[in-house]
Amino acid sequence: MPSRPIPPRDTSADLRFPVRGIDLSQGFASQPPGTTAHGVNVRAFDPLQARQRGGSRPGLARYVDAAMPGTGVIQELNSIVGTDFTAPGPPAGVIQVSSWSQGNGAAVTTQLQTAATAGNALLVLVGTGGNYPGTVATNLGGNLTRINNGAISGFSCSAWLTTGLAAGVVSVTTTPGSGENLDILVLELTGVTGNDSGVSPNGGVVSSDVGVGWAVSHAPEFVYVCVRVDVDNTVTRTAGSGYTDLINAQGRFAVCYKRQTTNATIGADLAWSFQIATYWQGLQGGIRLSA
Amino acid sequence: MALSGRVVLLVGVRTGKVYTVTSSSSSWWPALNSTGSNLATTGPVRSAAAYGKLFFADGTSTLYYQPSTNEVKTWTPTAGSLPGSTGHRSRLICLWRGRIVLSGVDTDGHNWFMTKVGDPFNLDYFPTEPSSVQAVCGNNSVLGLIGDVVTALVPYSDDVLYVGCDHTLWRFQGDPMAGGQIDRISDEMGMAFGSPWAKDPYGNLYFFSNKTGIYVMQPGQPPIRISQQIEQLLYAIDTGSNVIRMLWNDRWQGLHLFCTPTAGGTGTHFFWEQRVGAWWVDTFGNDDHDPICCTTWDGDAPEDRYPLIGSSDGYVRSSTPAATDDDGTAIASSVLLGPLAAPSLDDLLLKDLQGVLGDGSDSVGWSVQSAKTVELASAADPYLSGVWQEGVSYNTPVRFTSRAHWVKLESNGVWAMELVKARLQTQGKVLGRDG
Repeated sequence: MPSRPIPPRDTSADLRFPVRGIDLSQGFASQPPGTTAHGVNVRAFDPLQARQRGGSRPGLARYVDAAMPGTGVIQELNSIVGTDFTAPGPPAGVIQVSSWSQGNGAAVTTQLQTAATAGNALLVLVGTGGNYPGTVATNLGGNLTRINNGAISGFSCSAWLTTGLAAGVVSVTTTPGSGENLDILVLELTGVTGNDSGVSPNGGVVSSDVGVGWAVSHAPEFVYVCVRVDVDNTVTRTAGSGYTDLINAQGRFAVCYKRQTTNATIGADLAWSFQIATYWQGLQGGIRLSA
Repeated sequence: MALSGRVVLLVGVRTGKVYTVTSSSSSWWPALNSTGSNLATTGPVRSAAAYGKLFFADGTSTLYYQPSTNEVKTWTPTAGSLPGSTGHRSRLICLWRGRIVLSGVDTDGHNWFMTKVGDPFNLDYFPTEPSSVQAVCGNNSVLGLIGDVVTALVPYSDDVLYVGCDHTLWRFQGDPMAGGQIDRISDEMGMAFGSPWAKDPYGNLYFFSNKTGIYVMQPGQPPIRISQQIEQLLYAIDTGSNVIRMLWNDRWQGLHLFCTPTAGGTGTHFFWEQRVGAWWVDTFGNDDHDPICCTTWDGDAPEDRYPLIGSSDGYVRSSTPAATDDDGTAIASSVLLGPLAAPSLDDLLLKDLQGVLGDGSDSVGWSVQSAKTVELASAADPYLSGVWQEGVSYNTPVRFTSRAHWVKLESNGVWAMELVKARLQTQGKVLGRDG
């Protein structure tokens, strides 16, 4: 009687994670043990327990909440360690640049995460090449009120003031014109507890060849804010130079420049920058942004 | 401020302007600049920290940053002059033995320049009273020029400065003004341009060669190639159109290699796990995350000791175990397990699969790729697929016969794998005769 064939037996194979990584050096059929022909975004030491069992790779998180101002790639990162300086930053309790962003040519809704201190005022300045921001909303609480009216020659800048804040989100929705950028600057003003929505802009064209200035005053703290557009960022200001309205009052103020490549045209290189406030002299209680 | 009194400042450059931030800040603070000029607005900018200041090299400008006044200032030597000329300045910089070392001047590519020890503003190569600490450069030193175009400066230790060149490697041993010498380490390999190197805490120097090999080296020993397993993936990297950076990640004990196109587009990145010698491919779902600069932030808080990368969208990001994705973009991970193949070349019936994922894992998709050869199976369309959840999965019937099988795992979440068990059965010599 012929013998019956012996049925093949099942075998069990344990497939472990290829902890030795990708190895394309050998023949496919000779794949070295513990290696693989394909491994993307994985690690031998897993992200949950850091054990050598295999898993996905760790992710990326923002180290700084705000984007670095500018356009394009970040060109360099480095660190300086020292004991002979204090960390640069806004003067204590006066000005805090929360964030800013840029859009280009399409409707944008930009949200800025602020870290304002409750009880401080938040001044939101929004500028585009030609259009006013359509909507500014905030979940910060307080009374967000637009405090400037009408266009400013050569520069569109809208401002909103709110008080009684805490850390939250300022949302701006607008449609910049084609080729234009949307710039948002959020300033925290310490000690400004009121909100005068009836204040008219005080300013206009300060110097026709260097741009425009705009100032807002807020009683009773007499906060003056000047937003300028300069075509030449080497120009300095001295007390009284086109700012007669500013130096007549006491109080704190913030000064910022928005540099453009050409007058009244938003160029490719934009950044909010803070220049030396040389015209603070004469103001009682005025705050210099920098030495 | 720390008990030690130290202040740690992270400095960034974007669009040619300098910004700073501390570990407690949520936004960048711009540096003042009344010099009338900025750094190069595009491309990498390199820097070296020395004596509480940060000195820049971008090929065009002569600037440095002074944190005590938060100013970008013109790097004006008090003696001598900076190398190069207007528009042709140094593109490489480092601090070595208390000297700022400069090179990479496109009109003087073989030359090297070192400031006076302890004084980055003194480049007087012919002081009235010569000394061992005076400034020195290649064309006025007995050591002479480097015999190749300099592409990288690597301050390994106080005694050793490696100089990567176009197709050679050199080493400064000792101070050039104190009996030091320059030795050629290799005439067969060089380094890619820029900062294609990193060091680990154990004295190992890693670098990316001009021929797209990755090497590890220690003083006194020849470079050892560690990229044999992935050479095919490195061949295609154009060292001229990519910014190549390396970064040691001490948290994960491994080496990042970032290759980001200077013209934008998707980068090619790798990670090498030192403990197991494993190479992996890393991808970012968002091209904006591809970096051309990186650094290790050494703050006081635990969360301030991670590698940082500077991305195209202006955000600085860190690789952190707490992040379950790439800042809002899912991480698409995948790996092939196997191959499963009979040594006798018999067909193999894959009967079923069962997976065990780590506790807390997100779901992981699995699929079976099968073909007549292991090579074809590695690229085959899936025959069958499914999803496993954390813990032990149910036994999933497969029942497919082929000469070779791979099991592919894929996920967009965070996962860890314990084991995949496959039940197999060879189909004997009858099927083995089939071509």
